[in-house]
Amino acid sequence: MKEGLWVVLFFFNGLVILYFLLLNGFYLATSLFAFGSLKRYAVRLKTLDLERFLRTGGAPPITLVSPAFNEEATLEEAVRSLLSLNYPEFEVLICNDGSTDRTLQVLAEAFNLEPVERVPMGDIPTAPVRRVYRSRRYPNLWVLDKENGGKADALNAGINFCRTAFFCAMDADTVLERDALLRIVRPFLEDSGTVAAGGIIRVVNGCKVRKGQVEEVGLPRNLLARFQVLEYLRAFLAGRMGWDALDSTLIVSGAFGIFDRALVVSAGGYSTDTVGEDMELVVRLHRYCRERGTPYRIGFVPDPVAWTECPETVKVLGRQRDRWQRGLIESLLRHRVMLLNPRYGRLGLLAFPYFFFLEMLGPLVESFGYLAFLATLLAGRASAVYVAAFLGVAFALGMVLSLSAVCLEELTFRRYPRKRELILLFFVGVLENLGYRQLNTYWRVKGTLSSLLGKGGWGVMARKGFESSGP
Amino acid sequence: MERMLAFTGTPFSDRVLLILVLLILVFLALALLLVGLTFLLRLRTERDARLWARLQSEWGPLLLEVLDDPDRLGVLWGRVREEDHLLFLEFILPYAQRMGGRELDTLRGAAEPFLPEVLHHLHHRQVGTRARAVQILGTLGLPGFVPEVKAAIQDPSPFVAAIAARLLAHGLGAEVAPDLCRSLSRFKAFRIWYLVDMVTAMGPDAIPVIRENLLSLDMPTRTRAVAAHALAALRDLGSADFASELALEEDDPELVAALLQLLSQVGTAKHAAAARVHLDAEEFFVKAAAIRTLAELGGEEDLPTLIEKLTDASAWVRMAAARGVYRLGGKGVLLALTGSRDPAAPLFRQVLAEEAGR
Repeated sequence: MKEGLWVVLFFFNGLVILYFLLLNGFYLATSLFAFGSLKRYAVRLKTLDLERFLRTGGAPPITLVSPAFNEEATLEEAVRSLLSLNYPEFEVLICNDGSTDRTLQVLAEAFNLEPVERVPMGDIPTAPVRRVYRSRRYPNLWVLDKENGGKADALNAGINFCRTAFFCAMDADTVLERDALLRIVRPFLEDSGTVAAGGIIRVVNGCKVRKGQVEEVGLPRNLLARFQVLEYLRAFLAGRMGWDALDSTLIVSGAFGIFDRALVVSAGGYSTDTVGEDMELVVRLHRYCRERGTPYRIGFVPDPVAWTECPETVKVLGRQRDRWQRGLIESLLRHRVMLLNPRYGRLGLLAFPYFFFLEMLGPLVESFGYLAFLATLLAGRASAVYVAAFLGVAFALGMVLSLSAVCLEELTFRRYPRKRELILLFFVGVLENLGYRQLNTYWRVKGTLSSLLGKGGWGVMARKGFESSGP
Repeated sequence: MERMLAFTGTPFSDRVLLILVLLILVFLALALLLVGLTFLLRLRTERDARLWARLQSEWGPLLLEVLDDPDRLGVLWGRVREEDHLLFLEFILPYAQRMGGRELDTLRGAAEPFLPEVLHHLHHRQVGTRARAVQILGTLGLPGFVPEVKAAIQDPSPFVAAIAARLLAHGLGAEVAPDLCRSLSRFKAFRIWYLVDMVTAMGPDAIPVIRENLLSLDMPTRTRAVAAHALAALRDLGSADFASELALEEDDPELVAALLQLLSQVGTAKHAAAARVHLDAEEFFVKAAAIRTLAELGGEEDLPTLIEKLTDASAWVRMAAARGVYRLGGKGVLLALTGSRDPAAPLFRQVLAEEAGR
């Protein structure tokens, strides 16, 4: 009996090692693909003449759809930032999702809103829209006041009222760089099959924000926020860029992404019964197009930037990661038919299995792996040197992956101008392997368990406001 | 089994340990390499920034003088070292992209002696490098390097080809119309507006060639649709008659919608028949285009038909119909409907408010 248990443990340890090899193999592969892709992209980027593009037209009108729930602290600033975007023709549509604070009043006072008639052009079911407002001062600013239905529901309401061929889904607390739309729209012009594209999300904590624009980029003082700066760099520059090179983009961040409105309406809009509505929509669009044989592309563009505030406390960050994990699980389980299904091409055979086995089940394997290693070690069944060496490999590899993200950033966009910040990022890259990663695994396990137990909820993110983001 | 599980004291465990230690060393070396590489990249960036600052202080004031007095060109050239020729082109390119007329000619003159050095980049294996070379030649090298830029329309990369075509259209206008229109089918991946903008940029002198494209049955329908949209943007009144005939004959929805849009811009009452034919089209965008055209070209006799379309299944068609009703004098009808229990009443109120504000 006891021997049997050790055999199980032995094989489980083997599984953990296999998981480790596969996960890091994928990370290394995507980083390498990203490296080649970003290098080529940086050269191509030189040929982008934004001024001429802005002057000569050809850029499609876009509606920015931004759901807002209790955003009185940051919304005015965020809307001003949106209104100052460098783009020939766009509308801003704020969907007030039944806020219980002064969100609507703040908007009404700041932008001189008046009630107007505007009918929805789409028919995605949503909670009732009470009233539509338009700014007297900025004719391209619209506000939908609707009953609370959640973020996805608010986005759907915005899509229904959208009159342009493309919409940009974004978070109300996101600061878009002035030329972000001009940059992100490029793949839509160069490839008419493009139906969705996401830009890069960067952490605004530590940056100086004035009049809705990031004036000076800096690292946050808060260590948790610093970890996240590096995490975002790794996730976008190495991860998403790598997957894009493989034409297997499965996530377009809800904080900043452009979509073909007609296609999203046909596919039924955002799903309101998941907390990962952004990923779920992208996976569904893939399915929708593949199953109908429609040629399409969903991509990632690394230069248009959206700045977002990240959590600075363990509690809020934990809730966010728990929610992300639940969103991931819900999306993957809902579309599990794609798993290892050749009908979905590279997506079904590579990207989906990666997310399913390594991102979804990985945290469970990893955390039980820690326990199994510990048990094996305590029982004297494994050499402490061997376990330490294995953990040493994991640590060193984690460090390489983080440092490669800093290197990719330096190769391409160089947003952190001071050498001191580079050095800090390197330190963070070393430090995050000693606790932060394990904490993340814990949150993701919690998320997995909540998902399996059917627990939901978004949690609350206390906003500081952008002006106070400076170091 | 016991021994295997323990991973200790066996040759297997020693080998594993050795591999693990080696891996740690490799990864640590890689980490150090990445740190070193990042700092080298930073040093390169700083060196480039210093170089540009130096060139800016060296060439910037002189370039402004040259723009004011082209005779000072010799002095400027004297400051451009042999190894900086390509940098000089990079330096003046952004100025050229923002200037026109005499200033642009002066900048092109300033670039002339150095442009041949870019030519070999046109055959570089990297798309980005070829694209940049085309951009430099197409901005600073016209008309001298027209053959090279024209040849770039046939570049294996549609991205490079599109840059060449766009620069030629904006730089030379109608002169390149036949080449450009012939090459449009190369850009089938591109969004139609991008191509329409490119064709429209050639200006009214290119209209005869664009018309030929629209009329040619040998052209792909998408190219013809681009031509129709471009003629609409150029307000080519002379195209109304044949556009009307084509709209009656053609059945490709994208082309028909483009033709209807052209008619709405340049047509007259006698062309309204073409729009009426498509009022019951299967595709909502063709139907909406037909209604919009009829709203411009039609008369009171079309009002009942448009009122009928107020209950269409598509919101886009209903919107077009409500606007059409208003424009054909049916404001009273809409006013009456706003008071009714019709679920579309808010739409009618919206159209009334928007049309009144036009």
